[in-house]
Amino acid sequence: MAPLPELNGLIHGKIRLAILSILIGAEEVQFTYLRDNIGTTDGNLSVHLTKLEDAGYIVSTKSFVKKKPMTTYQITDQGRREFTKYISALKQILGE
Amino acid sequence: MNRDELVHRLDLIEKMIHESRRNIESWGWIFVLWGVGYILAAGLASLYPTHGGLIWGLTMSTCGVISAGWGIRSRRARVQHTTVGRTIGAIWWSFAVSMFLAGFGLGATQQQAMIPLVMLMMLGLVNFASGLVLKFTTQIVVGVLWWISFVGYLLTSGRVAFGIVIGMVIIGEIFFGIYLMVLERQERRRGATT
Repeated sequence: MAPLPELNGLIHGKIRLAILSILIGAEEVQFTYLRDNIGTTDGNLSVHLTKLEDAGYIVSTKSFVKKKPMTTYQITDQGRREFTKYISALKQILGE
Repeated sequence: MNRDELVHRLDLIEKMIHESRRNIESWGWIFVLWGVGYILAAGLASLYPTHGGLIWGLTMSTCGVISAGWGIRSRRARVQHTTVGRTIGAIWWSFAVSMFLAGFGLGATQQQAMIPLVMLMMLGLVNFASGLVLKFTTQIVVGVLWWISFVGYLLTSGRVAFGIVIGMVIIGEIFFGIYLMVLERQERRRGATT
């Protein structure tokens, strides 16, 4: 019997998993959209976004709209690949 | 890590992907606006036939400016962008530019009778394509109905042909727009309770 695959620890955290799931569904989302849908604080979300960005899974773009700063996030090709691998591993472990 | 926790992770992924693709924008009223605008223009133009060109030009331009303004505003206010949303936007912007060119060109070359024909065909195309992209059966059916009325308009003339266009505008713009508004309202309510 083949050994069960390892789950990517960086993706497995609830908030980081939620972030990547949203970014897989949408092309580009704003910080506030992530915060409101995931239901976490600005500080906590920022920490997780930075971790994903440092790993090269997402990229951020900063701009100004009506003089207010706005940050949007997109998933990278690497992030997409890792997310797909994570889902496959998860399904394999669950036997689906 | 136990099985329940892993299943919970899968549920979280599904929920978040669904949420990110949910559309809570309001477009139904734009359909109603065009339907009412068309009928208003047709009514006024039949009352004042000598000013037909001006009436049609003013009414359609007003609807166009309102729709374009709303489209630009919605895009700016959007907090998430999806490929599907961009595709639908591209389809309708292309339709708007093509219809404007057709209306302007046919009007300027004294071929006004061709305008409803082009409109029926183009509305069939744009609704059918949007319905396919959105997997929205009602809109696919509306697209087919526009095409059927295109054939009806080709095969008839005079009051019958005019009646076909007005009937289809009522069904495909006003009724369909109201139906969309009801769906959008339900979606917003669902969003507020989840």
